[in-house]
Amino acid sequence: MATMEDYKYLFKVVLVGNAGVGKTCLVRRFTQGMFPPGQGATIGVDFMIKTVEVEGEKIKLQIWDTAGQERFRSITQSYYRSAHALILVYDVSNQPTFDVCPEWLREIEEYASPKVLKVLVGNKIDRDDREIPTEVGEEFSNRHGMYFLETSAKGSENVERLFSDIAHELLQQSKNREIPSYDANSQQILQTGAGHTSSLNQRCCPRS
Amino acid sequence: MAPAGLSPSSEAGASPPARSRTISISGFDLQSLKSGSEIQAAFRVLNQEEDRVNAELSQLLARHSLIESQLRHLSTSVPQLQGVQHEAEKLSALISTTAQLAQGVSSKVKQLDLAKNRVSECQQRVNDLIDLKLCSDGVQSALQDEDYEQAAAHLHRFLAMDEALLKLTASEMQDEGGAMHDASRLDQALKTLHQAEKTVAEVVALKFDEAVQAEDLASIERFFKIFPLINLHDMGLEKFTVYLREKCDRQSERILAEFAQKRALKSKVSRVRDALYKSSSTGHQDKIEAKELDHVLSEMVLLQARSEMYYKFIRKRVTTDVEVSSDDETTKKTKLGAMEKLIVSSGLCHGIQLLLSDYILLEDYFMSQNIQKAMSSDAISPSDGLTSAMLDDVFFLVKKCVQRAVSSQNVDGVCAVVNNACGILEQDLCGLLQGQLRMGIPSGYMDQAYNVIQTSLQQGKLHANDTEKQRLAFLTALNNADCARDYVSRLSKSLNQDISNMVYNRSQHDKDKVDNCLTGFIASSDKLKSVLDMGIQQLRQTVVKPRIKPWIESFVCHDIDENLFSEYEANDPFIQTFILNLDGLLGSFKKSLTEQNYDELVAILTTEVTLQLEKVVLKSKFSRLGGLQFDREVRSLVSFLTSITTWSIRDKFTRLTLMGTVLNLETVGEMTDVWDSSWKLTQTEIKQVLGLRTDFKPEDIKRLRL
Ligand SMILES: Nc1nc2c(ncn2[C@@H]2O[C@H](COP(=O)(O)OP(=O)(O)OP(=O)(O)O)[C@@H](O)[C@H]2O)c(=O)[nH]1
Ligand SMILES: [Mg+2]
Repeated sequence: MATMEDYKYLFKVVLVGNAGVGKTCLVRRFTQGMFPPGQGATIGVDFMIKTVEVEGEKIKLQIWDTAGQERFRSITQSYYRSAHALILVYDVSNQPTFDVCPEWLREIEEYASPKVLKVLVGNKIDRDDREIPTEVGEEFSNRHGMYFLETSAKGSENVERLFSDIAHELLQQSKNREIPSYDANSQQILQTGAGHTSSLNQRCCPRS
Repeated sequence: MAPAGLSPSSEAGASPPARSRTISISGFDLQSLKSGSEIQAAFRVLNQEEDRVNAELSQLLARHSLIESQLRHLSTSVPQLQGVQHEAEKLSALISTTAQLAQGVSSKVKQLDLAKNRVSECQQRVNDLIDLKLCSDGVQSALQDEDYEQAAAHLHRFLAMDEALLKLTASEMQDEGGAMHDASRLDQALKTLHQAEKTVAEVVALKFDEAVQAEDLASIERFFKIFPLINLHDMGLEKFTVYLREKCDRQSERILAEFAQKRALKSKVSRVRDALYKSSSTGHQDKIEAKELDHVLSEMVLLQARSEMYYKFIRKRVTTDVEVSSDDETTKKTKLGAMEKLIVSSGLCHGIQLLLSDYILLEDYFMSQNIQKAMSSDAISPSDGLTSAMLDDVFFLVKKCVQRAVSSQNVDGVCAVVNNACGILEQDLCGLLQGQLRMGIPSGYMDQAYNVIQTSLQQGKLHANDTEKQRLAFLTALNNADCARDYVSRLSKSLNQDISNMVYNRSQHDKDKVDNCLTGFIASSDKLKSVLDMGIQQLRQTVVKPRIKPWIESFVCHDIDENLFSEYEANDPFIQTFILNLDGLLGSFKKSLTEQNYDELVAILTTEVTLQLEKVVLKSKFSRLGGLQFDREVRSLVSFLTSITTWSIRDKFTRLTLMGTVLNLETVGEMTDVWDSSWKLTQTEIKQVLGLRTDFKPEDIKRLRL
């Protein structure tokens, strides 16, 4: 089981979106700094860890890269609930992958926490056969209260930024929730509580 | 080597320093001897030297006979040695003659060997030439008869010949003016055989494919065996393994389809989907019962486990083969990567993924429905009387389902079921407990009455009224939340064990994946903790805070003189009653709370007491004796609370104890002596407390600098 490691915060980031939009390539670019050649479709769920530093804090990102193919839906759905951030990816050169975004959002609404950080990502901007203009993606994300970013896993534009923005935002949210309005008593109760919690009680981002 | 006895340096009594002195004596400068005593001394020295030389001489003489006898012995051996030398010369001559002879023989043998090889090569060529004719004739007739084994056998013979050599023979035959037509016949035969080789390869590949189509196992084997005869080992293996893979895919597809049909899997899945998404709209007539699924779930898991076993077998075999056949790491990697691609793209893998998808859906439904059912019972656990029996059921079910997933041996399946289990604990269980705790606890004044009621309830004598029920429900929920955290921790430990056995032989990546899913239980435990905290806060707001308030308010004025001070000593005005009240309040909960919850209650009670006491102290006035009185009161309170808990409550009393210290000072000036930087009171607070003393001058206090 997980032990106390060298990080202060743990955030779960889950990538969803149609097959072939480049989720795995985005994650590989971010975690391994490369664009994988001959990348096969993801089976079930792939998993990567990367620790980033934001505002001097060590943040561990637990990245779950889900399979876009329909037959893995019941596996991937099980990851929504505990996600701190959900990245919905489409391919800017492939209209249908953008057109299904409302369906993905419905799924997110159904399974994920209402407080989850939602990010819309238009990938493959290096391609010259773009079908979805930036404004269209942006407008959609605004309408649904999502962050928006366009990326290229191939050329690595905005990939680093995507994940570091997410880490930043989650850190902010977590700090806001963690610092209570001044109440010495509840503080003390929490402290005595911590005195006899089980070994399970690892430092984890507070959720609900 | 000189005999040891003759070595001068090791001779006894003749050491080199003695000898060098002898030399110096021979050059003794007699003229320089001036006095009698000097002469005497020189004489003594010379005498000593003489003695020593004498001794040396007699020793050498004593060995004379020994050396002589040795010399005699040596001289007798000389004639013998001459004989030996003669013999040796004769032997040497003999050996060189033999060597010459052997060389002669061996060169002849070499020549013979060469000749023999030539002959056998020649025979081989003749044989080849004869066989070539036979083969080229035979292969044609065999092909006509569709006897592919025979044709392949001829070709096999042909392929074992050295074609270049045959061609050389042909050209030699021409050079030697041999028959022209012999050479062209040979060329013709070669052409025929090459043509036949191509034909047989094509035909066998075609026939193999046809046999596969017809699922004609005998023919498949028949043609498979022909490939190696015509040097197409790789093609044969390729074709045969493709056949096996496709057969496996086809069979597994049949098995899975039959399973799905026999178990009405489609209808089960769609009924579960309906139950999940439309439960409110379609009513319950067709609602699927969770227990209907138990059996089929076990079978689904078994199917998955079998396919995992098959992959494991393939992986192990291929890995071992790749290990021995290639030593270059990148080649190994490419080969193993190709194998993974084959597995992943197989129909079996695809079919199992579909099955897994259904399994996860059904398992989730089974788990959540059963847990819902368990949670609807509000029976008290017979084992401790404090928690609900449903907790055991809930955790039993979670464990059962996750263990079932583990037995599927499928990492993604385990992860998904663990995720769903955590979801159920966080949403359903925490939701239930949270709801019960939100109902709150009635703030009745029935410390004493409550115990009576509860015992009567347990003995079945009394029907609890709503207030009592409500109170019991709240405390049970609180205990359940506490106990559930223990259960989660134990559950995750035991599952951790099961899962680490399962992933024992898997990649690090798989292990990390499952491990990270298991951290979900930490989040569940944290959620339970926050529910528990919420309940404890309720307890504080509705029970502890309002009860303590009036008790604290009877804190008397502490601006007392000596008379009153001694009267208070005999007749306590506040703290004894206060402690009694606290004891009564805590006592009414002690039996109905788990140990940790009781400790938590004492903790919030202590916090509340110190807070309110601080407030009331700041509103009071103190004389010097009043300060002493207060100090005593704080001490008895601390010792009472310490006596009823297992942890140290002293920390919570830091501020009150310091206030007691301040109120107990003789003079304002003493403040600088007792103060240090660790104090938990600010300068302003200290001055405020000093100001409570009626006998301290405000200007002294104002002047105080810490
Ligand atoms: N030009 C371009 N191609 C990309 C980019 N990102 C991914 N691709 C290509 O898109 C294809 C699919 O990429 P993946 O990362 O496997 O897609 P995925 O979303 O993980 O697909 P699933 O695992 O099936 O859900 C691959 O052939 C990649 O090479 C990009 O930024 N630019
Ligand atoms: Mg992928």
